[in-house]
Amino acid sequence: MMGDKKNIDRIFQEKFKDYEVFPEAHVWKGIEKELVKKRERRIVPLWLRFAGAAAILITVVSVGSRFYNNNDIKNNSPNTITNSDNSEENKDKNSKKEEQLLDKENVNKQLNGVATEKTLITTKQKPDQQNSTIPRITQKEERIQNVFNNKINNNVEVADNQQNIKEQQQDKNRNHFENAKQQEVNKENLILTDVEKPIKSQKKDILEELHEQNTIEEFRKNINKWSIGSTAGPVYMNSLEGSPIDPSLVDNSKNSKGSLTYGVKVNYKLSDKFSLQSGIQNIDLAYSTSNVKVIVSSSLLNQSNTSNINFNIKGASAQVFSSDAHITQAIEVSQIPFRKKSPFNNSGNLYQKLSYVEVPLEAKYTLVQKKLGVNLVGGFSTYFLYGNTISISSSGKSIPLGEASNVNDINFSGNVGLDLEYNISPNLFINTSPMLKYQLNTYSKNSGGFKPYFFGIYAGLNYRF
Amino acid sequence: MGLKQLINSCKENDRKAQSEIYQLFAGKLFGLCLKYSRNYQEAQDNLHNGFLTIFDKIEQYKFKGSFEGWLKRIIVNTALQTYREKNVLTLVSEEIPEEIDLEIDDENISLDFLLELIQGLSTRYRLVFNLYVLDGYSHKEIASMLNISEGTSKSNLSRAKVILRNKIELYQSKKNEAL
Repeated sequence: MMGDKKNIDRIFQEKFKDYEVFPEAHVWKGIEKELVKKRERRIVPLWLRFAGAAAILITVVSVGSRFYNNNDIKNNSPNTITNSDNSEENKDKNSKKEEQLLDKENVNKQLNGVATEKTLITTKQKPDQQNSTIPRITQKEERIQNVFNNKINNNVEVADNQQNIKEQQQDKNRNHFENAKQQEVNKENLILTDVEKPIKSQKKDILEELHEQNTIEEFRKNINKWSIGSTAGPVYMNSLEGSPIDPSLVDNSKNSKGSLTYGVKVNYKLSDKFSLQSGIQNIDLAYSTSNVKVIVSSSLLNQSNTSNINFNIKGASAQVFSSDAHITQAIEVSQIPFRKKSPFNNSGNLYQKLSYVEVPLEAKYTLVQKKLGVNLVGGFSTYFLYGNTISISSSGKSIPLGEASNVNDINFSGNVGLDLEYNISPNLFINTSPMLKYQLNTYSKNSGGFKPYFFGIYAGLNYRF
Repeated sequence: MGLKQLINSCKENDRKAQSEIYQLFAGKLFGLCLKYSRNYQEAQDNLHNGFLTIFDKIEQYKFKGSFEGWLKRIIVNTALQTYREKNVLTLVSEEIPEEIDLEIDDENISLDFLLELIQGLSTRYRLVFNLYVLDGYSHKEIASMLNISEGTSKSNLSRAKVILRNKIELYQSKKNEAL
């Protein structure tokens, strides 16, 4: 009755050596269901991704082409209004315009290039991440549900299952018995080969990965679709060249006046990686041109008003000069009557201020989403002009001159930038977002090669719901 | 289709290939799950999650080392992950392992009974016993996998063995009394 005494390790090892139990059919069905779901989920965001990229591309292209058309009209309408005496000057202007056009074309091309490059990057990056994150969340939720359901059914099922195992194992044991002799022979070898000693680092990798994914999953779970927040920050307007006020001021030095933008922002999450944001913001853009001389005369004298200013005083026309470059011309003009009474016979800084209501529409692509989130932002803004002043300031006094006549009531900008988010709590986060906005059709006519763009650092407190 | 072809098809998300891989390995891997789990139900959950991880990560299998070994590692890790989440790996008394001779009678012990014994062990003992005795991991590896010291792994193992031996002996003596 007493068998051989055997070490407990050996007993277990021998018994479990070829231990196989085939699971019930519903297990595979469950796995298959998840795999199908995962596929479906993978297809939808892919579609959305392309749609998002296409939307950005279309807006950039359409706004760009609108801008082109504007330029064409400008070129076609001949400059007959300006004095025929200045024909040489006009030629210069024309050639200058062509240069500008070329420049703009280049910039536009670059813009498009950037946009397509970006979409390429986004499409490349997405599949992997999608793959590993989205389905996991729901998997996990389902798992939790499973466990919950299982607990309810536990008493019933455990009994059933136990029987199942027993039946299966009895079959197994019969097989074991039949194969016993063969197994004896192979025993030593099998023990040696069956015991696997896999490389430790690989194991660790998988463990770490699982753990990492877990923390991300847990974090993502808390994320809601909508968020609303404030946004405010300094804005700096700049242009590399040109002057929107008068061609003669092209070479004068110009300074951007930092000004403030503020507003509200709404963000809607389309998918795990993509979101759309919009809002409404007030923005003041201001910059000054230094060393400017303004000379006013009666319009009755048929003095041409070459600058893009609608003057406050009726019946007056004026010329704006750079006080460095046009001294001789200025002297000439200064022989006009009323010059001595003119309050504008000043040299100083010309100060232009434009106030807009900005409505941005931007797509956001998430690069990192942890406690600190990093997003790429691209899109465009529509601007509605409501404030437009030009003033001159000299020796501490500021005198309003009028308003710019060449500014469009509605214009657009192409926006690119980064958005950094820091999560204070699952629902509350602060963000800061350096953005570059390139304005597309601020000026309706002769912008003197002025290609305005501005740089803003927006910050805000946001609430997710 | 050869195994290599099957794996490659799986990498392309081919449902048929996935099904075939499942049919090929489900038996072995479910056996593994049964050893590492507390009951049949948990074993099914672990198999379910393990296979999803397998199909998710199969791109990472570069035909280095045996495929079965790779699968087993994922299943074992899935099981460990389950118990790590449930935080049942803490709080086990630690002792210096005693070198005891654990020998018992080989006769009339069913696989079924042994499985019951393993599943009846506390989670830490069950995992350490499985990893070391049945799946050939070293104490060093176990220590890093379960985030315990090597000493703890050793002492857990010997305590697990004592418990198992006592239960087997109890079972055998009852059986003898019945005869």
